Amino acid sequence: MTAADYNTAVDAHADGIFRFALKHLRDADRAKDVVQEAFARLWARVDRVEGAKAKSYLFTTAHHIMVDEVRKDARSTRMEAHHEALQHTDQAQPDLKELLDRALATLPAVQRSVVLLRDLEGYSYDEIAELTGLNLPQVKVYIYRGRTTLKEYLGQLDLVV
Amino acid sequence: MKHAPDHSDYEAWLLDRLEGNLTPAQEQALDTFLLMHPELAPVDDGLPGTVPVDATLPAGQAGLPAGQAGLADADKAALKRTLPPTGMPAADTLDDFLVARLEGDLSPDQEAALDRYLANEPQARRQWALMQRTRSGGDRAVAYPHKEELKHRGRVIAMGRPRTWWTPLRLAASVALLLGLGAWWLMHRTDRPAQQVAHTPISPADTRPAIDTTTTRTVPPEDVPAARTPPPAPVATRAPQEPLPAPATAAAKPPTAVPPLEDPVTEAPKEHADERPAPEPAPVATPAEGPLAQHGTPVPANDDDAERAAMASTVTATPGPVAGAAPGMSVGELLAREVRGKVLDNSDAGRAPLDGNDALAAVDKGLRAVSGERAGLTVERDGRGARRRIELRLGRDLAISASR
Repeated sequence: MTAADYNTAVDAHADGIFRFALKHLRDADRAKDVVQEAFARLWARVDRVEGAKAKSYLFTTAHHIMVDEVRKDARSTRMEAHHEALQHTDQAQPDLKELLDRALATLPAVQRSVVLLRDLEGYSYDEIAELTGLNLPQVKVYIYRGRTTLKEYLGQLDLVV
Repeated sequence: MKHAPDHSDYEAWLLDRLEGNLTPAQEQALDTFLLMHPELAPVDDGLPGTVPVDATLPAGQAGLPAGQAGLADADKAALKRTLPPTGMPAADTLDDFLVARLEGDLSPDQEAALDRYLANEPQARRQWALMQRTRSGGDRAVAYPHKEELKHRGRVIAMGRPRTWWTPLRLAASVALLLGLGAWWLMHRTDRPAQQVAHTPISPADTRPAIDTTTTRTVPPEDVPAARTPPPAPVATRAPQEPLPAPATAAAKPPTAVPPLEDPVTEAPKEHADERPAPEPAPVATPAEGPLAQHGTPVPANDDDAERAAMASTVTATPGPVAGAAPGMSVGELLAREVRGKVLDNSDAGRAPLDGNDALAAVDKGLRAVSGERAGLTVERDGRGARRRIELRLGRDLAISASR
């Protein structure tokens, strides 16, 4: 992969990585950090990554970065999340997109990545398995569990509303 | 262990299962117990699990006593699950079919069967409506705002992880730079000891008058006791062609024998300094008088200067064993000329021995030799000679500058 290929990858995939991270983390600043880190790692291996593999390398790297981030967050109590939860209780009629983002936030990090890779980028089961390092049955189970969890979450809110 | 788990010991059974201590019959008994009491099942930690296809209880048979086994094959088959689902939709597999439809995994026959099922089940239609909402739609209008900053148009220096052989050399050049600046600073120090003495405020307890270090010594030689008068003979009588004898420095040392300030011998004239007339032009400055005057060296103002003058005069008298040394050239001047001409490529030998500019030139040349022609050190000065801007370049991509 040449420097020109790398710059082409920036134009082609930076937005997708950013949307993926933004949906995953729900924090624009942290999503930007994920994008920067993913491309920094790609640049560090620019001579070892094929140009055609740049997209999968970037999404794989972003996935691992975010899973690590979420696990680190899980070990510490985040006051921001607490405040965010309080703010959400004050809102009267959140729209469906916001509800779905909240539902996504309840999923385990790997499940969330799998569902988002499927929905945002349209990756197949096999591609998701390659990106995340899971096997095919695991990907299917994760998607099944993620969908049913999201459905239950939205169903509960639907009843409340 | 008992034959079947109950509420009091099911956790021990779970631990035994984790450690692989259960027999197949005990495994079956534990699965049966967990099916009857799903609230006691281990919390899902998000890791992929397995569907208990070997569970012995069919749907609706949860009230059986623990440990009861022996189901028909048809009942076992009814418990089995696959993703995507096989067969036709039913109440207990509705979610499987809804997810599979959303993912596009159903066959045409299954699609048709699901449509018929949904048409007859209002609650199932609501579930399908909810399932359709679980698909996240990416907002294509959202874009990463700093794409240009991600692009690279040159090489990147990985700070903290030296990847090339010349990176340590750059660090060495930085150390050399610091040493050069330190040497420069030392050469430009203005707080030399003599001046410190001259400018040290005198405490009230010290009744001695201040010493004027700016005037030449006016004490005639005869005022100083003979024992403390430097013998002039070693300096004056040494032949120019003689090699520099080892004790020559010691011979030039006598000026250091002049006692320090607290010496009563030198204090005596100072106590009457106000009474003495203004100093006349120093007789030692006359070429015909005194051994030091033979070299045209003015009499120093204090003892330190006297020592330096004596040493300089001694060195000046050194004959020419060094090739290329012009008559009357000191070793320092010769060294400066050689360093400027052969190391710094600067033939300007008219200046004093090596100074701060030479130190800067040496650092600049060293950096260029280590990191290439783009490296170097540049100091810009204003019209008064004061440093206005300094720029340190350690290579193509790294430069530090400061200005005022």
